[in-house]
Amino acid sequence: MKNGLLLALLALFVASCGHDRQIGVRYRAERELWRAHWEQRNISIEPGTDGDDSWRVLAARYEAIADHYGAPGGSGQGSRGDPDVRTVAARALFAAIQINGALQDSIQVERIYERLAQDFDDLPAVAAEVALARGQIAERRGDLRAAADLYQTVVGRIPPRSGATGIAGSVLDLPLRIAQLRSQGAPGGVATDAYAAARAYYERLAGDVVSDTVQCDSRVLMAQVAGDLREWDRAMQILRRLEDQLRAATTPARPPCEVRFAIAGIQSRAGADPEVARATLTSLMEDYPDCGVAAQVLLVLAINARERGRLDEALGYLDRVAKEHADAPDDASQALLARARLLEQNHRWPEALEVYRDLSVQFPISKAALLAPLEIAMHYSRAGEQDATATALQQAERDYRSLIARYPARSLAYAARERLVEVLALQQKYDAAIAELMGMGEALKGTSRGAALMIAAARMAFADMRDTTQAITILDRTRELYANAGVGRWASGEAERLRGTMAR
Amino acid sequence: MNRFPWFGVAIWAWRGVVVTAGRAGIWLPFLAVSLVQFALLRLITGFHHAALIPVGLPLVRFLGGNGATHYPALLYLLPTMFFRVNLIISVLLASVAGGVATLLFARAFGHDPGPLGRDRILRSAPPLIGVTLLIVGVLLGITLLGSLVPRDLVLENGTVRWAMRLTVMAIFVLFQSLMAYTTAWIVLMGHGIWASIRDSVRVTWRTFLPTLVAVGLPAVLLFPSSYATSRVDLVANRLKPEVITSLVVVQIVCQLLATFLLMGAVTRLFLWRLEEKR
Repeated sequence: MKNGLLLALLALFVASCGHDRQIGVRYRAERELWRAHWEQRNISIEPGTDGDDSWRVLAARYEAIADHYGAPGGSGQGSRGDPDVRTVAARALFAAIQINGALQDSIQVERIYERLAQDFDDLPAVAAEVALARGQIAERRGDLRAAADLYQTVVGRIPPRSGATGIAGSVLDLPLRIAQLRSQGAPGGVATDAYAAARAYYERLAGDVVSDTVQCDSRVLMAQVAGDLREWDRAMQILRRLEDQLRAATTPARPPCEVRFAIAGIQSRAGADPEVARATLTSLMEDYPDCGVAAQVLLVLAINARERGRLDEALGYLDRVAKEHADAPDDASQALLARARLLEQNHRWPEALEVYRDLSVQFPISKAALLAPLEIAMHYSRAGEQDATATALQQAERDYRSLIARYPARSLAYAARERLVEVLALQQKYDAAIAELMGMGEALKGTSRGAALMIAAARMAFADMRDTTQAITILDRTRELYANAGVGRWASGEAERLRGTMAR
Repeated sequence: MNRFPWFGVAIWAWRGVVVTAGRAGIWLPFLAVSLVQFALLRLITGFHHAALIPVGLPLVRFLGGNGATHYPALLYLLPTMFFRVNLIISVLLASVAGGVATLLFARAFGHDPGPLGRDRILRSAPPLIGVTLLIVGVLLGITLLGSLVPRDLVLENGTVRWAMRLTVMAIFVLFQSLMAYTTAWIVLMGHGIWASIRDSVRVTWRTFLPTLVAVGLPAVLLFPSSYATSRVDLVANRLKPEVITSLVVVQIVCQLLATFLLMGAVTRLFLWRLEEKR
């Protein structure tokens, strides 16, 4: 008896020692991950002169952390079974994905997701995050059934939390998204079962009292389900009741103005008279002057006014967005772009031109501003003014080159370079455009985006310049860069085909 | 004519301490305390090593909770954890080491405190630990005075923050001055806890300004390192968290020097008053 008790205590001690050792391993894993994050921060602040190499080295470092602490075949023998340690390893892989994503290296991103799905499927939070991300990739690829299936695996695993970062914050929208995806290609355009499942899911979460954001958001989504099923009265009823409850609450889970905004959205979708939606949106601005979505409301009011043929009213709303919400550059620059386009469409080109120029001055690093020089050139082209078109294209080229030099921040610089290629092609400066495409393609080598740019360069050489030799050279380079990928084999085949054409 | 005779007395006391600094033996009790501090610091920061984890992990959990077993939370919590472990060291070890140091200083200053044997140390240990426990309790109470000021006011107003820090430090120095001679009364004169406190207050009263200066200077010397370790929020976003360990190491070294200076000066002032009385 005594010996048994001693043995049991000894077993307990050994077991606790094993667990304690895992805490030590987890600590070391966290330390390595933190140090890699630290390096990532340093590279972000002060990018090296070696292009993307330092980022690729860092991504490899994250993967090495996962190899050591998380992979079943890794050297972190003791850490193999501990969920906490493996969660840290999974976080390292997510960081590697983030870097590869920033490098637009979708091949690496998909490979690492595959690895996460295989090695970490026993960790619900990790598995759900991977399924969500792979679902989004599948959706972008157009594989809607696979996307819906992947999303479905998330819904059952993770309880939703509105406003939370990460997977818990995204899961609430998924049942509706699944229903929408399954509806595409379904008989009659509506996947009734999927919508019924989504409705049941939201009804279960909604309850009667609006006490927290999940309940509140579930009811908004219930209204969206009703909207998708064209049950407009039901959708309106849900939202109106929700708005009343939020207005009555001392500390509402969501601003009631957002629900009023959703009501206007349902009215528009239902095909109601634009006056009805206008009345709702105007009442929103009057009842909730400090509403957080005021900029979006004004943009929708502008669209609504245009639908009603009230040009000046629409311009007024857009002007208000640009003036009253200048601290929200995305909204304000979009408003200015919309204002310029609206003026151009209504034959008020001098005013439109002024707005396009203002846009580049006021919000130089916005996506809307990137479009402005091209829009100006396209206007002259449509008007058949060849000299003005040429001048505008030259100006656009200068603007883009200056922007690329001044703001070398990755995403904006790439977007500007893509616009530059368009401008160069319109000027028939194909050599420069191809050089730009190949420069970007080389910089993004190993990524699907890089491959697409190389192929675009080859196509331009063949179709626009009629230079088969150059097209073959570019395709050969693509084959070298993507020797182990399908696109490399395709480039090789195309190069051979072109060689054959030349021989004939 | 010396317009600040009390300052001259304090300088005289420190000069005596500096002269004795060349004697390796006097450093031993202080080095023993620092050694234990370094060992515990190493145990806390290296708790994750397989060899240390059986002892290190329970200690880290005891001092900082489960959150402290994560990186970099452990290092951000390190000053708080070290403060807590230092309280235990102060009561159980530094109190007795201070007694031994007082005897060694007294001997170095020409006083004959009698034989310095194990029995004498063991005899003095309970009152030394008891009185240190009381002092530490009151000092903790003084540091809690800061919580009386509304938190928002402290966070928003730099002047209030510094005024609060300086006030707490002034009260801290005043109280420590009143208790400065307890160790000397216990180890040199064989007093108990209450008698040592009573007579320490009396000596401080009669030697108020020199005592205040002798206690205040080490506190001022220690302030930068203790301030730096208390502001990990400043370190967190700018430097690697390992810097916090270095700050604690600096704090231990400063503490070693400041305690040496304090114990030596207080012992000299005590012996001076004793001579005067005779």
